[in-house]
Amino acid sequence: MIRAFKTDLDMLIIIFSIAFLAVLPTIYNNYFFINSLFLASIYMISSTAWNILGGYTGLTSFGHAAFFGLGAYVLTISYNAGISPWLGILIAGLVPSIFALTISPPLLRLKGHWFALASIAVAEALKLFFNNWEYVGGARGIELSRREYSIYWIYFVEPTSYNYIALIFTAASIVSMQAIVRSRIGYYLQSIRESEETAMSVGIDPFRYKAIAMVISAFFTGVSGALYALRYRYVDPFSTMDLFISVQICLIAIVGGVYSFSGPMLGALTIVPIAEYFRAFIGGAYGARFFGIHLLVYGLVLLCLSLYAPGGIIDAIRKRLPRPIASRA
Amino acid sequence: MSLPVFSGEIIAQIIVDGILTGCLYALIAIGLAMIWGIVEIINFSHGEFLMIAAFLSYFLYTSVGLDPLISAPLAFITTFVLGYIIQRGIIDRILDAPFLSQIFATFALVLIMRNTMFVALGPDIRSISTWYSEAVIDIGEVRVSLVKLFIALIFITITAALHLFLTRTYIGTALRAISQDRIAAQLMGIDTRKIYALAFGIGAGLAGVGGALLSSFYYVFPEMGIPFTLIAFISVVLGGFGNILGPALGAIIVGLIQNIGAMVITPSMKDILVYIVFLAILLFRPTGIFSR
Amino acid sequence: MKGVSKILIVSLLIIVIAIASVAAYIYFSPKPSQRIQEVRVGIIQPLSGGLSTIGKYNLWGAQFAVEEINSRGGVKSLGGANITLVVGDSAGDPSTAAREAERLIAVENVAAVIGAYASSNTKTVSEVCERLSTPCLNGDSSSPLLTRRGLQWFFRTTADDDLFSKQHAEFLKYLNTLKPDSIRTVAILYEDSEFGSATAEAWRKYMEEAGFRVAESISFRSGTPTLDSEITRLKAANPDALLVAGYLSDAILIQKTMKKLDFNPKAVLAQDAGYINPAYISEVGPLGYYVFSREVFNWDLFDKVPGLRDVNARFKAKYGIDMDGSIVRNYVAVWVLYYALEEAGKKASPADLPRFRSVLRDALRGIDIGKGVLPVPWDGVKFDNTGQNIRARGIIVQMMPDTGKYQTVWPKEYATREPIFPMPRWSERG
Repeated sequence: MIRAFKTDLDMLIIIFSIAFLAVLPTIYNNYFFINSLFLASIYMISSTAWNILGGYTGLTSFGHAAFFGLGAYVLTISYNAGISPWLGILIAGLVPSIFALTISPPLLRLKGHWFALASIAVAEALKLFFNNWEYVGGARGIELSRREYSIYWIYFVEPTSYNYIALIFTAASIVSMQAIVRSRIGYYLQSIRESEETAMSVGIDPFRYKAIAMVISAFFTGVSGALYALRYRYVDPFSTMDLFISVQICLIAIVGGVYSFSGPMLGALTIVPIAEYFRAFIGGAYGARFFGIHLLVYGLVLLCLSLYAPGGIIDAIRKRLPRPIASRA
Repeated sequence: MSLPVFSGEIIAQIIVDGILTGCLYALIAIGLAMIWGIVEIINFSHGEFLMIAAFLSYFLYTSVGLDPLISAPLAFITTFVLGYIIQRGIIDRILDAPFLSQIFATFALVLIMRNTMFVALGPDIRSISTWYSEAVIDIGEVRVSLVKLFIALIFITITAALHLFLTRTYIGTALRAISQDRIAAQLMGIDTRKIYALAFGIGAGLAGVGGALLSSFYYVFPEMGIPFTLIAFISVVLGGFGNILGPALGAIIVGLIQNIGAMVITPSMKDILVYIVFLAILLFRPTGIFSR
Repeated sequence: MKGVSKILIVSLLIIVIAIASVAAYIYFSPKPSQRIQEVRVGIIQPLSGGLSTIGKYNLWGAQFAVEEINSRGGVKSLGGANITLVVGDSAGDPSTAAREAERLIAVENVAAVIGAYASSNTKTVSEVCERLSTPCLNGDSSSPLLTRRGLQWFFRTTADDDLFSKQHAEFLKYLNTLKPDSIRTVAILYEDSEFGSATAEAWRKYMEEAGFRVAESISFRSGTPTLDSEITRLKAANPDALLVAGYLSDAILIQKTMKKLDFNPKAVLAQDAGYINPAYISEVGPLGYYVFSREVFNWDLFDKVPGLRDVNARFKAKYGIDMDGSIVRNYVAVWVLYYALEEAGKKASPADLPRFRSVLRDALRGIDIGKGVLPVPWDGVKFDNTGQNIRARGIIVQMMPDTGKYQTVWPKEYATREPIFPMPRWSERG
């Protein structure tokens, strides 16, 4: 089992990623690229958050879209009610956390495959519920009210400004999550993942810490959902709560490497632009004749990655680095 | 939401239809149970085999007029072979990988299988209509869909055959042995790799049969697999694995819940009821209702 | 062996990504200022995912119009510039549609964006166009909400579901004049996304206004494998007329299930979408006979609508199928844009894109196309201050048992056949 979680490699990648997100939009003023980076930062937050539950605690969830969608909806509703999105984003993180807290007593009794399946059921049920709930517009979804272009309302003409707002939240989220996992909590979570019985024997309450992991994971995923809503200004159950989103989040974490903190960040920076470019480049040129060809290529790439780099990109990198950087003494 | 008043006829109708639908789900569920129970991998691409077989059936019918119920064995063979190859080529390599890596690969497979069909055949939705596709017969006061009745009968036949295979043949016994205790089976000299491929092949083959049968009355398109994959998983959890009857009964229960749910709550929420029951079983009896 | 090949693969991957990035940089760099030889127009349609079965045809409609226009000399006020259609795939997802819109506008430098079929996608696309001051022309989304947001850059040529639903009520009243008092109650069956729900809401409003009682209203998820319980419930409500809103796969399933369960309302009235999809028409056969649907256009209008026969013949020669409402609306959207381009080309050039887009928008605002110019049964095209074409109309068609095709039955001025009403029971049919 690959273990080196506390590594300086993580720090390097965090700094690199944040710098990348900050600097590139200024040099390379291409809207498409900028939009891809925005999407990448959203997934960066949510995949890293997912990994706190997945890689650190060992609970694989395919239902994170529930948190994502809840965050998106809460932001939209509060925005339309007149609350500034700066506050709204925080509320958008809190509601999914409360939801996570509520469902954790039953849910956390499950493990492994069972937990994974249950998470799908929860997310799908929530999606169906929202689809039929008139208050949130049901299937018609909700549009963000039009306000003045301003920083207060996070509404801009150019896409670049959105990237900087996202950057602020991405940096804040990543730093917070990194602080959390470097603390005792992170250590406890990993020990729970290794062996619950052993953890209990040294006085760690597995349920308590799993719940904490889930709440943290939910909070930041909710934040990323809120950012999504702010950018695209329209939410509906299928675009924010579908299984597809859960799968994306999870896949990005896996591709990046779940056995490290910064793996998911790398995953987001590579997978998201690749998927976007495939769709625009290949799909736009050939998609009208060969429907879905960009997805086929994407699937093939993923398959190769899964077979040849099963530990993710981080793992592949780490094996090539000299020992001192790859794992802290 | 007002509750309409239900006559006994309508209730009987719902129940019968639910059971029949469940029989179709059951075939697919049993296939999944084999893969999950023996190879011990969560196979998200299960529904894609169904889809491929459905297309095969469609084309056989439209080109040479071969009825889907009759071409079902062909579908079985095709998806069996495909499943076998995929298992040897891909799944085998990730058997010892952590759960997450396995997920990775099966998701990729879903994308590949589905979009190959998309690219090759385009997005159009096709359907075929045989003489029995909409035919109904009345049994007492209940109107029974003929095609579903046929499917239920085929299901019973296949299940019986499968049971015999598993209990009376060497290979079948080997399969059961592995599902109970992998190490012991290996110690007994059973070649696990081959058996895994076989199990995967049979599982995929069963999904294929489901697809062929489905094409006789449902429509065929590249994205049709996912709902059935989900239902298969739910059925297996509900019914438990370890035997054939478990997933089959689980599937029938899912069919029933869907129908009852549609009547009692609004139809678009019927799946919520399925999920709730599913979650309840996961919590209170995770090994399944019918497992030993 | 393993170590070496792993290094190889990882480095290959890195190289591939690097090359791809450079290639993409070059490919996606904003194009240098436009040569007058072309005017770039963007179109966004779902080309992957569940809605691609319609997106495919919509794109054909638009491409066909572009070819026609170019073969007739292009945009003459711009010196005969050809229209280049730049394609974006929304994959049916609102955020993807928005990203594609941004790409088309800022990277591909299109003068205007056409799209995007699904109303949820059109919402985000139009929002992007508004922000980036680019005209957005929609030919095929029917959600009434789209023109109620106070946007200044959004135009829609087709009528909205509200107007269509109102016409449904008028049509039912018309049926009652043929056979007095036969329709008193209606039931509604609708798919539960934006399209279906908005339609259902409009129906509830207009049916009740017209004096019909809504006996039952049931939603379902598009793509569901079975509708037995839904139809059983409808049957129990025993409505005189059934109003249906669903996509392609739903339409086929609904008809099959109605026959199977022997559900016989006097009339089935559909809201376009699945029911007029060419794939539905060829697959459904006798199951679809006698069903009414709202349409925006129909093949039998050749003699009623000037130029239509000719256009369809040429389309069919190239693509092998007849045009349907969705295809024609995209075709017409491109033509409307063309007329606006001709106007705009007199005052500005695409070389100065922001100004050109603004002038184009003004041209759209002032457009005034009369009846008979475009091959549709409308009174023409003129946009009100919300961007809605107030001269748009729908028609009602019915699938006839002798031809297996839809024939126009209402309004009377475009009708080629009398409506068959009430619908024969399943047991009475062959």
